Amino acid sequence: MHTVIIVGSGPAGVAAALEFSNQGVKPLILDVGNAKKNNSPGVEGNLYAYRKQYDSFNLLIGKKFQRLSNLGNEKPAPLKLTAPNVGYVTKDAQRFSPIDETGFNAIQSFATGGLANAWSAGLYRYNDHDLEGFPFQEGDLAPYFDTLTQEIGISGTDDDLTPYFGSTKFLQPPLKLAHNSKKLYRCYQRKKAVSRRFGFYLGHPRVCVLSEAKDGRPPCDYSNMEFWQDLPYIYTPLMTLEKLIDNEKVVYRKGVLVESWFEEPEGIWVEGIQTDTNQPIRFKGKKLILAAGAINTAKIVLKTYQDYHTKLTLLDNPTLQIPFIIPSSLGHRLEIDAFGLVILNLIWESTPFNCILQGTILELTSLMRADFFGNLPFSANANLALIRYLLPAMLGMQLFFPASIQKPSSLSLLENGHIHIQGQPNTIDLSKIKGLFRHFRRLGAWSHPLLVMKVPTGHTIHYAGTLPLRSSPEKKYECNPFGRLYGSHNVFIADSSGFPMLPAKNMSFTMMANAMRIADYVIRELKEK
Amino acid sequence: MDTRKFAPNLRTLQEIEADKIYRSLFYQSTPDVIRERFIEASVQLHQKISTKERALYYGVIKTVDDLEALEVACRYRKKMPLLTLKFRLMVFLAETLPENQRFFVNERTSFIRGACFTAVSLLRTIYKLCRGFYLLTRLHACIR
Repeated sequence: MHTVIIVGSGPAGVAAALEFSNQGVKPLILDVGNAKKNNSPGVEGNLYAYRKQYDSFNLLIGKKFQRLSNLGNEKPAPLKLTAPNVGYVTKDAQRFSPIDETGFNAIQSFATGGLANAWSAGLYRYNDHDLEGFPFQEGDLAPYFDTLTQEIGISGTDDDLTPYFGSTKFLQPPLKLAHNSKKLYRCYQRKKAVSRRFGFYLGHPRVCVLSEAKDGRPPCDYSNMEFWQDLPYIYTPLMTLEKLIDNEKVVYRKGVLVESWFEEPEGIWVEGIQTDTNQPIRFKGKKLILAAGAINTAKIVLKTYQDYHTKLTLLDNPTLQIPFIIPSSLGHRLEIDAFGLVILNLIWESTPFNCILQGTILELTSLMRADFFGNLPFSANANLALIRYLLPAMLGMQLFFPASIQKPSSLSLLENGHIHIQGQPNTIDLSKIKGLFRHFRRLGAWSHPLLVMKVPTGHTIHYAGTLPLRSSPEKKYECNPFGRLYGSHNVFIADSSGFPMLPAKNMSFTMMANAMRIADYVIRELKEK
Repeated sequence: MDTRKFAPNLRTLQEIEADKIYRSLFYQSTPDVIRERFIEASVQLHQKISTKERALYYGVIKTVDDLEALEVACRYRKKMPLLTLKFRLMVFLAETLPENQRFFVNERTSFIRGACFTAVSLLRTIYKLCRGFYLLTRLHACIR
């Protein structure tokens, strides 16, 4: 019998496994575990230097035209998931967990390491304001945040965003800014007083990207390759998992799709199927940690209870995509030495929305230029000219809203085994962001509500809230503050299913710290017994 | 317009299509590798339309020389979305060739050059839109 069984190898599962192994417990991790086919050699050096020298079809489009899967597709995938090298991340999702969705664009992963293989690298601590409605506080997570910061290697700094992003302990220096972000940030520094009156704060993000070498991993080389291949300076939980497996700190069993469990007085049976043979398989453990993602963890729970009626809440951050033009950069050469994921963060204490919003600002240098061609309004040839002369003067921003700003989506299990998700449309009132645009104009960056794109519900992939943590859970499908599922003795929820709220902040880092906190509690309970 | 007179096989039509779109974008003849990739990648786009729609589409492609004008007009009138998709497809494919980098990447900073190109782009679009709307009225029976 295993002491602990963890289901899933995404950020939450790996963080829980790390805590168990740090405390001398060797967990069994059950996972479908789709792996990357390592058939293409990595490209060395800068993206644009490579493109100038070689046919980049295999790198950018893919032999099976993977990059073009969004053309004419009514449900386009997030751009990062269409890169040819990450096809394995979402492979077989519809086979292993079919979803009938209305008004929701669900994205799932059955890969080793989960969706974090293609994450946007932002790792933020929830502070006490963010944790309103949670049955624990920032202080309860602090030691786990610190451990993870050392394990991962996070860059950032003490600036105007520190009150929102928390402790700067163990952070590496921030990444260097490219041309447009540097211009915007300089202007913000000059007009700080006005910005503060408006509740507008700009600063460096907290990203799991090395700015200095760490544990044999090199620092960021500003090669613009972030979308196109795995880079050793961008952390993914897979790195920790591989280390734990190599050091025999965990037992990793891939090829298992967990479907349900049943409890006995002396332990718990976890039941699933072997993905290669479709034969049933089961494992026995003392404790079960579910970390299969908010959608699939909920599915396992509903299937165990054979419940085909209950509709669980499913949260996601409503999001806007906003392009900005910096007119003074018009005609500037393209910055080919840049980092193409989040490079600046915005915090807006928004009066019109009566809440705090977070924006992640990106340089548009890593994507294909063709990705923007279809979004420009001019004739084809004129659009090409704009790609050359206007695009290097642009920044992109994703503006995240708290899930509470609109009605949540719902999730249920159908008798045919499919998940049904009823989504809610993105109903953000664009007239309320005019003030934000006015302020950006003061900083030399122009945009207009007509250029804003509402991200379809589910696209943000910040799923949460299906099995919320409560101070005193009173009904089925709720958990106690340490993740124990109501009515169960040995089943714990360690992923974002347990988040009762979703503030406008990327949840990955807090989810990992919370998984460690839950693992810590489970160890204490095991020791007491 | 009677499209039945356009009988050549699909492959020939696709080659004509690739050449016209590439020339509209880059004023050059299509490199063989791009033509092949374009034809191969078109398969998945064609799955979304009926055989009749495809025949009408190729009839139009064969007749019209100024595809840039037709495309921008179709985009604004929300007609024949396949043509817009084919332009986007061609841009994706063309961007992967080293010799095309100059069309996508500006290597020299010049505000005046940038401002001029942006202004010319606007004027060009207005001209192409007018021309495209005229083409649409001529071809209204084939384009929906």
